[in-house]
Amino acid sequence: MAYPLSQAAKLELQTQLQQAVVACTERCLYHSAKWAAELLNSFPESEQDGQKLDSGLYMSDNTSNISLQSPPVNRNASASNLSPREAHLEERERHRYLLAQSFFNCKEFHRCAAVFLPKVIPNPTASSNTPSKAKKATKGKSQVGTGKNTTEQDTLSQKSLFLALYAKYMLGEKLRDEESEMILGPQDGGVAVNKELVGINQALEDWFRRHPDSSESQGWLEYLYGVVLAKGKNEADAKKWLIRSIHSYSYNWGAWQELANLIESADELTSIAEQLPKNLMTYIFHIYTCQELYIANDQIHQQLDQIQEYFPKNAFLKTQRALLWYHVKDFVRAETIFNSLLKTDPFRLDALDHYSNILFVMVRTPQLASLAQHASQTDRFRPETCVVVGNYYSLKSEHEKAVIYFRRALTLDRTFLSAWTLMGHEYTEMKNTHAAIESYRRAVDANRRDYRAWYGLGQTYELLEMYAYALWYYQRAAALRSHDPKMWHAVGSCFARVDRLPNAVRAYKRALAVGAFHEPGAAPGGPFGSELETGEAVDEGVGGGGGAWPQAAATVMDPDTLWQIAALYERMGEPEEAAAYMELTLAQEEGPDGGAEPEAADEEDAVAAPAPGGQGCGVTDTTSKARMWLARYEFARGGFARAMRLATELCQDGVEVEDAKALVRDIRARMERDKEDGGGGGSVDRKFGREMVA
Amino acid sequence: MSRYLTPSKVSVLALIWLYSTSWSPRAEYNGFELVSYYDILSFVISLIVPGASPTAPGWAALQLSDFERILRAGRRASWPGQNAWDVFLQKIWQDFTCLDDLHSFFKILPFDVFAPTAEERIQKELDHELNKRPKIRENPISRRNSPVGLFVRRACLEFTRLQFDDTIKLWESFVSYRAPTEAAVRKRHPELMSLNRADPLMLHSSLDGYLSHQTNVQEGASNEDVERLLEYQIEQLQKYGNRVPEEMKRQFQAMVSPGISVPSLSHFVNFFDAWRAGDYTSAFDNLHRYFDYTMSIRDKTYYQYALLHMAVLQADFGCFGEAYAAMQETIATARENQDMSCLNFSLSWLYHLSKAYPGQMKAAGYREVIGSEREGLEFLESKARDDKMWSLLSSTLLSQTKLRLSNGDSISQALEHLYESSHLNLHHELASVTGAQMLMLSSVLSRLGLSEPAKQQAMVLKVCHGRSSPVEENLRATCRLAYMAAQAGKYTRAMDLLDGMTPEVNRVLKFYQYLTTYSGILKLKQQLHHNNIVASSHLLSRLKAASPLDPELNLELALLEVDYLIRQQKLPTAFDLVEDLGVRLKDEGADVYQRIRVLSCKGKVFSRAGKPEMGFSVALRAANASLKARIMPAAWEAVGVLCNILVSLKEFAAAVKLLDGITPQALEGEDSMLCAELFATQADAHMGIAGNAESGTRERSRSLFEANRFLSRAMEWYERVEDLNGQLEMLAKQAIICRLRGDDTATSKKAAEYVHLHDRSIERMKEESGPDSSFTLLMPEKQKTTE
Repeated sequence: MAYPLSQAAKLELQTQLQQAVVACTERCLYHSAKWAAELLNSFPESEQDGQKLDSGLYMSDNTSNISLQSPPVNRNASASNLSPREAHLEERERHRYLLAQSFFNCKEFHRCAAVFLPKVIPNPTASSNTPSKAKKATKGKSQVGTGKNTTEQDTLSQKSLFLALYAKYMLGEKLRDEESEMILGPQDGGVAVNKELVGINQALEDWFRRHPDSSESQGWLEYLYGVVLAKGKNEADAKKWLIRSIHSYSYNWGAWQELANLIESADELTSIAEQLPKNLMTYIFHIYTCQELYIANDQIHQQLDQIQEYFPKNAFLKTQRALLWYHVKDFVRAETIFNSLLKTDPFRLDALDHYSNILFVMVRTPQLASLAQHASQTDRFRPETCVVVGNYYSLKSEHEKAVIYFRRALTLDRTFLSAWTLMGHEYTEMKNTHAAIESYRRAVDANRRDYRAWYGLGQTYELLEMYAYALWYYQRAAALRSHDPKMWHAVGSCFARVDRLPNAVRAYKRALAVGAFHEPGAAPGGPFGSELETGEAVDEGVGGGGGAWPQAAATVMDPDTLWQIAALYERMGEPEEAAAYMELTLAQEEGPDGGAEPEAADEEDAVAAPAPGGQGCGVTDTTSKARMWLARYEFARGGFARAMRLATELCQDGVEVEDAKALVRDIRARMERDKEDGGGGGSVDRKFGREMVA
Repeated sequence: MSRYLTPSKVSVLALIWLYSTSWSPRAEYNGFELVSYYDILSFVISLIVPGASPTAPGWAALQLSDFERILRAGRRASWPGQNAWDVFLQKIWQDFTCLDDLHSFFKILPFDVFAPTAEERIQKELDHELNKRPKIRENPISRRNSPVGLFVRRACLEFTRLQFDDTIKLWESFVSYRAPTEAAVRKRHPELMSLNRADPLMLHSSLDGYLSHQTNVQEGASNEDVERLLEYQIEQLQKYGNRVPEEMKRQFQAMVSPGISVPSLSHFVNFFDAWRAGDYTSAFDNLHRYFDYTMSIRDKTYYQYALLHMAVLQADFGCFGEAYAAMQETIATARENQDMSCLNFSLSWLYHLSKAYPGQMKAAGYREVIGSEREGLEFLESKARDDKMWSLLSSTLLSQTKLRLSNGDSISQALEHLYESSHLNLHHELASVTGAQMLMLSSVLSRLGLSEPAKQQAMVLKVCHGRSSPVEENLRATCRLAYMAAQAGKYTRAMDLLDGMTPEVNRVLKFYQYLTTYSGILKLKQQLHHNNIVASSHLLSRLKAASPLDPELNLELALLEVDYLIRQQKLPTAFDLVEDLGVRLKDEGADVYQRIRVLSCKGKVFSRAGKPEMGFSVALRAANASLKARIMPAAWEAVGVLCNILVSLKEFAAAVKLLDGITPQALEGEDSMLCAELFATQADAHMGIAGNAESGTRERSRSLFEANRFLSRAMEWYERVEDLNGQLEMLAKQAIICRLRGDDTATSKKAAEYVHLHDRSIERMKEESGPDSSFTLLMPEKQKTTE
């Protein structure tokens, strides 16, 4: 499907990536540089002979309509293609630039900024306090009094200006972290702001005003502006500027990442994708964003397949693949990918926290311990390591220790999202609901797409019996994970709690619908592949060792949900509906293959599966409850034969034997009395009613 | 370094787990046989309870081979052909495959070892993981307060306190700890060795190259073990007053080096070591460092102990002013904190210091803290009795004895105190005081002139209590023995004794100085007897330069100097020296024995100077005082001087009478020089009687004969101490007697002997005075060979 890169295109791409690494390193954007360098080193080993000379590389699928073209070279991105003015400026500033760069590397941000901007940026607090004054300063840029700053900025190359402002930005971040002091301490309310933002914002505004011609721009300043705007919650503008930055220079992964963070839904993604240039980076961006948005369909997988043909060794792409599996709960595949990643690059700690989450869900304690050991020996003070260790302790139900490690992760990096969420889980376990809520809140503040945090918030409020709150949070979570029955189940239960029964029923039905989405009749090419079934199997936690579940088997509907719906209908006074759902619940014992006649189903499945009930869920508490309810319902309606059979089955299953026996006795008594005469139904009704209340 | 847990402790915990899970009240159902139960339990107890078994290897040295030795014996009834060792091996390989197993082990350990409490039973039912564990029956070690229970609980607690990285370290060291048994397990249970189990992520294949440096971490000792070792070292250091042997130091360093954190106690050990080595600055540095590091843990109550150590240290290096000031502060702080033991100890120490160095202490501004000396001692005694500080009481009693002796009070009272102290030592097993008490007894005996029992006491101390008493007492006993031997003229034996001291003594500066001075004094004595003036002057100047702090040695040296001056006929100088000495001793309130000796010496100088009249009263006083105080050796010496003066005053009969009375006793004293001089004086007296008698009378010839007899006896004793002058004098006198008798051949024979002896002594002197003789002479024999 994908065409191999031609030799020339490949060479060009490599040159581009090389230049990207150099450019990012020069600007001290280390993570972007790392990312580009990783990509640069993940071309296939065996050299192509270059017999296929197709550099067009159009995708076959027409939905995304993204072409895999290398971004245009002859923009002014690379160092060699500078405008003469910029080149001249850079040449003149080279020594100072080296000085500033080394200061930055030594984390002396003040000094670094001061190399180029001794006092350019007015005191941010002063300017924020007196906006009119600041406005005047920007307005009168050509005037003599305020001219000093602007002239100085004018004489700077874009590169130097970027570094200086970026240093300011980093300084602000550092100060903000320092101000917050201890994690969840009195100062750490998540309200501390980067105080340099205003100044940087102003400087950049000035600059852009004076250079309206975007053709001269290198893209980096736009990126920084986008970041600053995003921090200031000015998201629409931030997106605009980031897109501009990407248009000017595509190989800055940081810009893509920032952009991805700003996208909140799939619709937004498609609308933004139209504004983006069509090239390789956009392609990767698309995959990354989809992953972040939990969109895991065949299309994405195909795209990933294609891109991996060009970069078979790229760890980032493999990680994306693993995360995609993880989002659809195919833990086995995700685990395999992560394990192979770990083997090929044992000292890469990125995304190991996700790996540990997977192992946690799969309850692979030894593996998790081993991972923690390995990560800890590689680098003890990486947030990823701390999260892995925290997960391990959490799995060993040592929640205090887990919290210690999550806190450590957050001390190392306050924006480390998963640690906030996981810490919330731990606090919930420790019944420290206030801390849990705060942790979840911080997680949500850092990334509004984290459904686990929303769900956690909901759970915590549910614990506190504040159902209206919980409902709101569950709804947020359900909106983010609309294909996850667990979310809808939670929403339903909350609706039931606040007595909005029809809504509850709808939510439960939704849960049923998404849960039973992949029935055998579903279209094979549907958005959820057959892989999902194994994932679901693991999710159910029945076997624990995924994959054992037969692929072709139809998944049962969740009997719990069915029972809940039935109970709701009963509360709404619709016993017929309730009875129907009860029947459905009961039917889940045998699975969808089993007919209404359980005996027949047993005979059929006896060969295939050793467990009673075959592919159904078997006799559980819920189905027994449903059976009991049905037995009484039949009894009340006078269907003694069915009631008798159900009650006897209950006795056979050994659940609620006493009640069942009592019921059997009652039925016998009634049947005998009925034989004698036809009266006495009222007392039974009364009895039935009492028992149902109990 | 881990704080507490080590691989060996984990192994023992595994053994305890095995024990308690296989235990059953009926022996025949036990996993192990009863015999091995006993072995296992005693093995575990010997490790857990400190001091339970002296032969136990200790945590740091415990290897799996030690387990094998114990467990081989135990067979398991339900597993024919397998013994407990196999079961144990299987346990530590099967149940410890990866880090997670270690965590799980510690999590389930308390549930498996202890019989569950009621609430735990509920918890156990709730927790499905624990529910699968085997049921624990009530058994001897399943109680939480048994020693084993305490150990298990402590271990679990310590494991909980470990950081994750520390658990990794523990795990890795455990892996390398059990590695030696890998071959055995591979043979028996090959299924346990699959890599898959040990490395769930299968990382090793890709990490082979990287991880090699990480896997060979072997640390046998935890912080706790090291601290225990250090405590032991300090205990030994304080008990014996010696230094840490080099070998031990080396091993200890090897043990500590892998860890980063060194317990602060090691600074204390370093302090002791530097102190003993005479490294004043390092000692100070280390002491301050120790207290700086421990201040955070202990509060200010330990401040006085810091001061106490500081004072002792200062005094040891001769800084009495500082020592006194520090001790004053100690006393004040101890009073403030109501720390009776510290207060008593510092008071007693201050008393001892003022006794030992009266002049220096006075210069430092010392005044009696509590009334007079005796009152002070009585106060201390009652204090010690009240606080039941037996060791202090015993040493105070010894001080009482010493006080009585030095005041010349009644011997019986001194003996009473001595025996009281002895009783306390025996009753309370005060090994540290026993040596001092025996030394004191020995000196009492020698004062009474019973030199043989005195020697025996010293020998008993050296032979029987040498190992348990401080090095210093050993040294003193040896020196006393050597001194006695030298007095008897057995110089080689004396030197042998001094050389025979353990080399440990030489590693402590103070002891080394003492020993060197002592051997120097003995050598000086010998050289003086040899009349080797050159060597003597060298020795003397060296010894005086070293100026021994010990008052006894000081006196001995001064007396030898007087002897040296007399031999050189520098009598005025000698007289001045003796006079000064007398005044000084009186000022210091020194021991009566010392003062008597100085008096006798003064008398001797007078008689040598030909002024017997002036010496008479002095000698008489000396004799009187010594008899009163029952210091027999001093009495004999004083009487000898007195007789010498009597002879000079021509009171021959009186002299003979006195000497007749005293000589037999003196012979028992084994002081050869004294005996020789007594005999010589007696010969002189008889000679004088002969001179008074008419020539040719029977009395004259008899006296001459007596004189000659005593001369030859004196000659004998002089020969013993190799005293040249004495021998020559005796020979000359004999020759004169021979001539008086008219026996010319005998006369010439004696004359020839005289010449021969003289020549030989000169030859010997030449031999001895090799290059740099003065230096080598000072050193004990052994050092000479090693130089």
